[in-house]
Amino acid sequence: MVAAIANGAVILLIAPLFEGVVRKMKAIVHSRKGPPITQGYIDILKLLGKEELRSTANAVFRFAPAVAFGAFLTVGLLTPMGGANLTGDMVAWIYFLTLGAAALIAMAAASGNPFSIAGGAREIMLLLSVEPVVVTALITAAVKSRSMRLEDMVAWNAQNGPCISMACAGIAFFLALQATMGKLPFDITEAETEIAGGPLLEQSGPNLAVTKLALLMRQVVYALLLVQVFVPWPTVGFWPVSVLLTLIKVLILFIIAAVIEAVSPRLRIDQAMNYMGRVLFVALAALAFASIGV
Amino acid sequence: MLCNVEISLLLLILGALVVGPIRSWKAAGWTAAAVTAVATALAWTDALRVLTTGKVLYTPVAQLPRFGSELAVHIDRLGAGFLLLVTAIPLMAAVFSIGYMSRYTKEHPGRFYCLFQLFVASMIGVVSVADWLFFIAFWELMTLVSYFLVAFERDEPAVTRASFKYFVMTHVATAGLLVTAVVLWRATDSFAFVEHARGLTDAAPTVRHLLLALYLLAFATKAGIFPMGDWARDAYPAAPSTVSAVMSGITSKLGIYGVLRVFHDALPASATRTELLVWGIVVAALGVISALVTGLRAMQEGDAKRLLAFSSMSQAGYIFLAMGIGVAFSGPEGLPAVALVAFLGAGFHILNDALYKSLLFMNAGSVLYATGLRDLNKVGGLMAVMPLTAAAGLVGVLSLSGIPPTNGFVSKWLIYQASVSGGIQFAPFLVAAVAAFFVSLSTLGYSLRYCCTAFLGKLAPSREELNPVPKTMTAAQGILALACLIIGLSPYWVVSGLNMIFDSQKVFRVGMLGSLASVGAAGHASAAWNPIGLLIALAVCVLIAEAVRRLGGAAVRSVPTWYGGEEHADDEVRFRAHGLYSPFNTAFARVYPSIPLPRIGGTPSIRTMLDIDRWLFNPLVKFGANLVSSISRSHVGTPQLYLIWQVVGMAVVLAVLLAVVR
Repeated sequence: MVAAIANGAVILLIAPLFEGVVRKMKAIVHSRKGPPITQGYIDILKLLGKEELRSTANAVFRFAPAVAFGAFLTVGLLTPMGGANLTGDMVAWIYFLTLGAAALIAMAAASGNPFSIAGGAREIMLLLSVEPVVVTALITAAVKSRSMRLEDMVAWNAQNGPCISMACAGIAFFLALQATMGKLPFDITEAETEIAGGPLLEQSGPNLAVTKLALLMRQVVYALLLVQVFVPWPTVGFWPVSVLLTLIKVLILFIIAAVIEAVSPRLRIDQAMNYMGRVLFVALAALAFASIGV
Repeated sequence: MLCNVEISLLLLILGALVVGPIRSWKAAGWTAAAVTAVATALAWTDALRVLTTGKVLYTPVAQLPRFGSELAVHIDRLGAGFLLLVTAIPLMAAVFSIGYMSRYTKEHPGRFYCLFQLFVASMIGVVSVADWLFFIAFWELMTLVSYFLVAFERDEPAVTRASFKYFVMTHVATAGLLVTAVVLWRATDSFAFVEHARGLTDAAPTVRHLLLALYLLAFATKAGIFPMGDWARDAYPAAPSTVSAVMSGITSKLGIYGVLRVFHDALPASATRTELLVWGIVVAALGVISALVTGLRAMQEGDAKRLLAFSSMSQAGYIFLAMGIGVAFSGPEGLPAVALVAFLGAGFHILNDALYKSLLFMNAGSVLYATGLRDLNKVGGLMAVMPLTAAAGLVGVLSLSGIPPTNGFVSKWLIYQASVSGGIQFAPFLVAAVAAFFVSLSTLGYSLRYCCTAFLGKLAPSREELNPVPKTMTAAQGILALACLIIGLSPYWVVSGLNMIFDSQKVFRVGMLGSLASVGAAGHASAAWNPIGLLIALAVCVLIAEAVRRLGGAAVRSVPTWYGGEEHADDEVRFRAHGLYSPFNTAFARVYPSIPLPRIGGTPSIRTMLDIDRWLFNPLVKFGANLVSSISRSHVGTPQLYLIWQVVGMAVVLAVLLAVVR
């Protein structure tokens, strides 16, 4: 329980830092100076003080950011990170993420802005192409550890890994990570130059800050799960050190993601679906390996 | 001594007679709802007694010794579980129809409510007999009555076509049921469920598998499994929303009841391990294909009720997947824990789909009632005018897509556990698990397509004034939505109830706050779910978000929607349903195309034959009207004429008296 709350607190507090790092990294690739690493926090704080503009009186529009935030933070509580997590398994983990996505899409639809709804529809299509990969990777871990609980998967891999199937599943998860994080080339949902931010378009001020925090937490949670389930080594008994190690691994993932984002153009949704279809084969191969026991 | 189920059956039939002549839709609706409520209460007392004590309720009514058949109320736990749903869902539908059916002002209410009461009675009959002859009798009555209910708007050619398709497809499938019943009757000289199960064991392997295939065909057709259940896509949209709610909510589940009777009750005792595995794979494969194909098709659909019809087919696929895994691992040599988890998932999903699918059909009915439209491209933003309906629809949609903490999550959680646990033993079920996750997301896609376009966004301009939705319609939906939430938060009692129905072995431990955790039975992949705990966590996290939001104390201001700096009327730039998911739908356009049916010669005459109005209702009414008018002709207001009548009457009475006395 305490460890779960610590999980959530760490994820909530550290998410904007990763955003700052990503922006700095992109600036370095672009040969720019770039904003300071704390820019993520500064943005959120600035937005909290700005006026909140509402294009509709719809209650869904008003409360959906909070629900998305809550859902992604709950996922944070469910994600193992050194200590124990709340009672829940991979199904709960995936469905709380889906709850958050559903809240974002409902928010987009409630805003009444056609750009937003287009973004929301893209979000679902992206989810439909990405989630099978994530799910297949997690099921591979479940088959290997004979359990659908995330902490059992982590423990199993830390003890008995590495093995071919888990490595293969980890690679598939990693190949899907860019899309789950909503970063280029899979920045299709928001696509600022195309649909002006999609679901975020009509949000402003504090609610935009909440939505942004929610999205940042989602990125951290996906990266964290990849690191924990598929690359849990080295295992350290002392809790704070283990958390720190995990966060460093997550940071490395974010840096890789930033470099990919800096050098790639945006894909169309059908291209993304094509790509994910191929990644799914990698994941299914992992599943096949797992079922023959390697 | 009559048992309560019999009384409720008689009450419903009596109710059908009483409600028939009532001319006002309102009065007929209330009467029907009251009768259904009493019948439901009676049936529930019996069902709950059977469920808790486990003692089979057995009340013989009549014997047909020549056929070895017996009409008796015979309710075991499985039947009792279904009896609860088979009465509760129609009760909600009856409450809903008080308001809803009043839109058919031109029709006589008797045409609807008589049949509706008979429909409920026939469904109660189906789940409370243990004799294939009477099962088929009630089954046929159910099909026939529901055919007339589907064809309620008989002036629409599309409706007649759809109802005819429904009638033919289900009847062809029922013929299979008839064949199995007769073949096994010849082998065993009896129609009892138990005897037929034994007959199935003794039959030659080829015959046995042929019979099993026929059973599966008949029941899968009724359940709306693709491709046999293709009638559903036309029949559900064609029927009045009340009828689609009942049919999709519970009537189609009776097909699943049949599958359970054969593949859960009868088969495992006799079949070998391999046979069970093969049949399990067949059932599960049917389920996965149906779930995938219809789920993808629903994402392309623009008609609210047809979208829900595809969704019914897709959810039936889920149930079949779970049942298939259950069958594959049942039997003495199987893995009882895995089979049990699978059947728990199937049972829970039956309950859930009954609740939220009837809720959503009522919801689409409310939209139809208010706007007169089913086309999602034309409606929009209705949350502003019907907030309660929108809220109920939102709950239904979340529940349908299995979002925690609604009930839909729990059954999916069970089904995934079953497919992963089964997949560890037999790898193809792992692919089924992946497919099930994918379908679940496409469910989110199509249900948001419904919800977002109908309720969220800008209010679509309509040509006419919106009809205010009556309270009864909202109340029925509210109760169902509440049920979805309550069951979602305290799933342990449903799980323990289902545990009693399927197998007394415990696979879950109930922990604090009604949480469920697997006890680690052999072969069962460990899992845990704590609905209330996680709801509290979610609520706290949402409150944190609100607190963060208020940190800066920012002002709030209303502004017009931003259309890229240009000025547009809202309707000009509305994002219509057909535009949603278009890249995705282009990729999957050919997955479930509509195949135009060849025109069958001679159908008009058959349709005429099937039109009960033409050969029964209309002639009867005409006869009655003629009789009344001929009597009224005698009343002309001339006293002399009355005197003559009096004299003639007296003479007749005298003559009769004389004849009798002598």
